[in-house]
Amino acid sequence: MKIFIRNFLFELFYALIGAVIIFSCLEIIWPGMVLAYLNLNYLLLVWLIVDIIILLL
Amino acid sequence: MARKTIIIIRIILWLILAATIGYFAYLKIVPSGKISFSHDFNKPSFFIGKLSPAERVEISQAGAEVKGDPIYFSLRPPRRFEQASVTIKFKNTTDFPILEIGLLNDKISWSYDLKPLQNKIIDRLALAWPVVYGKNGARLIERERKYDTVEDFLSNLPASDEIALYNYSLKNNFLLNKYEAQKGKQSINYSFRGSYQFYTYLKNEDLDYVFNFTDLNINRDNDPVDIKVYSPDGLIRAEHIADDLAASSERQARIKISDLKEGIYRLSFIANDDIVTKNIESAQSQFSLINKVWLYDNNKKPLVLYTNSHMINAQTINPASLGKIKVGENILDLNETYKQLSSKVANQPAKIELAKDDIIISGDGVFSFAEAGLLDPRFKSIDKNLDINQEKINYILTNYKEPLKTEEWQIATAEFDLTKAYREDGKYQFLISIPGLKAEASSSGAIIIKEIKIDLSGTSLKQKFNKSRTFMTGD
Repeated sequence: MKIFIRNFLFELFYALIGAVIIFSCLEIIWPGMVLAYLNLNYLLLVWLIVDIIILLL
Repeated sequence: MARKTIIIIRIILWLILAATIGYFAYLKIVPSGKISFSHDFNKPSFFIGKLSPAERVEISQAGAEVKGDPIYFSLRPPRRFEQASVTIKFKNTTDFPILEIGLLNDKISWSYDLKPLQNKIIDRLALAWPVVYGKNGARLIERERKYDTVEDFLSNLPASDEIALYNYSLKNNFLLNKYEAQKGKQSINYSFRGSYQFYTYLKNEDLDYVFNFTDLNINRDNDPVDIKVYSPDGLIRAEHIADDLAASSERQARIKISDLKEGIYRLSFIANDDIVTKNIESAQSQFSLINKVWLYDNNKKPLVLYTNSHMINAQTINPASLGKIKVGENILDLNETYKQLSSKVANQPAKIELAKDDIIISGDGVFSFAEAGLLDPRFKSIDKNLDINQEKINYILTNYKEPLKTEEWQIATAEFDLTKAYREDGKYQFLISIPGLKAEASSSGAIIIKEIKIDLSGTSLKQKFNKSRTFMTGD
């Protein structure tokens, strides 16, 4: 189970880093496209929490 | 099995991300061409900016209380739209009768396209006087019932001094009976700072103006100048004089138009405050500055202006210009920079005597350097300075619609053409004006804005696609 959670968090980590990079690029190209609806700081915070949990597991 | 599950999870997570990007793209593109935003001041809105300046607005649970005139807010739509319908939910328990909303159309001259939200003077008169409705929502309010339709009124107009307008454009066939074109040129040796506009009159002569101006270069930006000439039918000439940073700061522009019919013409000199007009040479004798005059420096003294305004405002940004100003029988003590002082004028025309230069004088009428030179073809406008009975106004023509009333609030809507609006960093600038309301003066009652709602409409994705296809195929 622990391995499954760790693998799941790894997948989440990659998806979140992908989201951060893509959303940042979209925001640079079309300002307001993402930030109007989603605060990227919260996304970075979730990504950071996932990172920490992976390190702790 | 575990590996298969992980792959499924991976696919699901990346599909969620793709769907989120797709959703953001949908919100950015607005395929339908229609979108609405609203702001009730409880939490910040990305699309509708906060009301500013902060000292003129007090935000509370009840809404935004307006303390001074004007206040501003911005709109940041996700893409370009063509029309904006701005709905304001408000209540006005003050004595200030007029509430208007405007959209910034030109940043150099800070010109706003103003639309009415509330005019209590018309609301009250519409209850007491007979009202005739015309096509497209126009209203004629008559002191005594004489016309049955607005069209009947428009085809048999009474004397222009009996008519007052509000949010209605009516052409005035203004002609001077004893006007003769002068021979030779006259020179207007006053210096004007920034933008200004004036009326002139032509009869069997060419319109000929030479503007000599200088660039103060206080700001190192480009300082272009636009000169526009309007006949009673609309714009007839526009000249753009670009700023050449390498050239001399002394510049000149000439406007010459022949074969114009007799009548009154409006010239608009649009420039920022870095531009000072040193001198104007003209073949025309009539020169009436409209609404505002900012005499800069080295003007001959004493500085005397005449106006038909009902209310005069004075302001200076120069500490050396502080002092007393005589407006009719009143004295305005201009003792603080950036503070606007106002004085009501009992009798028109009124004489304004300025001891110093560099004072911005504004009002609801025209300004001239000679009492006989006051030339104002405009119909009177229904505002807080107009005394309907004293001015013997018998007809009011308006496109203004009374706000909808709910139990506590009033709701008014104004339509704007965004294609003509000024846009910077993807933002449009709006203004809410309550003429006469000053943050530093106490007033009874309050103006509270509960909600701002903006409905935007423009080209849909389908229309855009069809346009592109037509362009490509040449159909």
